[in-house]
Amino acid sequence: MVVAIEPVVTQRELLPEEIRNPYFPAEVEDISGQSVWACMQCGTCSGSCQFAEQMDYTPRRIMEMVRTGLREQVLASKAIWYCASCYSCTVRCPRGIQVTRVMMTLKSLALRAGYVNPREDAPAFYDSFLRVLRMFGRVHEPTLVAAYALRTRPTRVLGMMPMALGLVRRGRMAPLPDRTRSLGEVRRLMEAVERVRTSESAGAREVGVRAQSEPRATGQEVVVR
Amino acid sequence: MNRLRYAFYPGCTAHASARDYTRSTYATFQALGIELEEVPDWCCCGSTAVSNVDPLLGMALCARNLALAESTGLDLAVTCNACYANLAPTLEAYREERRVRDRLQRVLDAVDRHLEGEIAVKHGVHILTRDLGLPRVEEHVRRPLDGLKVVPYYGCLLSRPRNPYEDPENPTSLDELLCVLGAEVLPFERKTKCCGGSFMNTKEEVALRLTFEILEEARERGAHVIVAACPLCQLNLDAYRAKLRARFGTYHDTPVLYFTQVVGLALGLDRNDLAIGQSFVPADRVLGLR
Ligand code: SF4
Ligand code: SF4
Repeated sequence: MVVAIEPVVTQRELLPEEIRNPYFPAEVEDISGQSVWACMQCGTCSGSCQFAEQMDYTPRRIMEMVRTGLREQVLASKAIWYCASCYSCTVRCPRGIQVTRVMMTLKSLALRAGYVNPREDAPAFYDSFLRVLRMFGRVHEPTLVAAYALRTRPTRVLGMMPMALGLVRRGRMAPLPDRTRSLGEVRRLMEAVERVRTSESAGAREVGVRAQSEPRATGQEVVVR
Repeated sequence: MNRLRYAFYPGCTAHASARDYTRSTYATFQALGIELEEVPDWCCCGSTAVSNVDPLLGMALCARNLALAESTGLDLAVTCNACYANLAPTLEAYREERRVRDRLQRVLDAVDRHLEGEIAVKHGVHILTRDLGLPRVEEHVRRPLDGLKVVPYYGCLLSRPRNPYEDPENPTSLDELLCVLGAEVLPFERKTKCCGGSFMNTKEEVALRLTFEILEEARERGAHVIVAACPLCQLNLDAYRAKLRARFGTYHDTPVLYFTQVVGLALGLDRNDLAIGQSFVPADRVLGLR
């Protein structure tokens, strides 16, 4: 007897291309070095995460949304900015996935692709960090916090004063930023990173990975449970 | 036994908000016969901030620092958990992941640096507990901390994502270290919970809640001192007490000291050399208890 075996079509594959970016899982795997397909959706990551309550999608759902290719929805989510990089999920994932590295990858992609949620202060903070780093090669916290406040809510500086003064008064804080002598080298290193990245994404385009950098804003949401 | 010598990566806070940590580290390590030589012209390791916006840049910054350290021929000592959790995993990925190594080598070439990957990276806690060893620490104790109740706070990144000397869920080296100093080490359920420090500027509500829970447990257990092994943990647990009182109505007066200060006290070092008076919540009263 011959049995015709129907190809298995998952719900995932039925989604239209405007919503589902089939290259997204590979993009995330490439940058993070983690296999999203190894995830068995056990939810251990969500259960271990101290921030799951604040997230719009739990870490487990984020993993499934990545596989489904919901690039826009994931990169515009609040969830990724609630990840504190505490690695609790990573040490517990039974499939050995470093979920933290996936989260980091998603944040970096969200910034690069311009999906910055204006309600989120975290991207501004990280960006200020990079600026201070480029300026001094080392990060002096008061300079960082001031740069961040100026970008977000300048009145924040007032709230931070007691802390800064407290540190200076106790002799813990150097009032002036410290810098790396070979600042030029640090900047060259930052440029080299940029070159490595661009040459790779050019290579990736050649082999057919769609380098998608523009937000598509379809506004459609798919519910992944 | 040969003197222990390390290249030392102090990290950015050592030259900014945690000069007291650096001072006590040098004093205590010297008293234990451990030499630290600052890595020449180190730069920021990127902290979690850079890994989050640009994972490759985060690793590249670490690779440069590792290359500088490796060129001294010594192993690398780190006392900040965030630096440790950046430098050690980058080294591991450099050794084990072909793609990472290729990418990082291209970046290092551009700044004429070379990393063999042979260096070892160790946190200060493990230099004392493993390299020097608990019996040797004990030999140096001059003023045992009898009667001092302490809780060790490891934070997220001393045992995670991986540390060859610790169980990620239940690290114990800090407990062991405090024990040989004669202190009474209390169980501390939240010893590896996140204190929310990285969110203190961006999601204050969430961060304050987590910090409060840690301080609350320490108080309930009757701890005199919370012992930290990271400048970021120390600052976060120490510096926001007034805000926490305004938010939750309870004032916590448990001081937070660095492990280097607590070890130094047991060795009989001078309070000033250990920069004991520089934390926000004064520790003198509880230390006077002994
Ligand atoms: S813990 Fe690992 S396997 Fe389980 S849902 Fe999370 S990522 Fe998937
Ligand atoms: S690393 Fe991020 S996702 Fe994982 S448990 Fe911590 S906060 Fe949650």
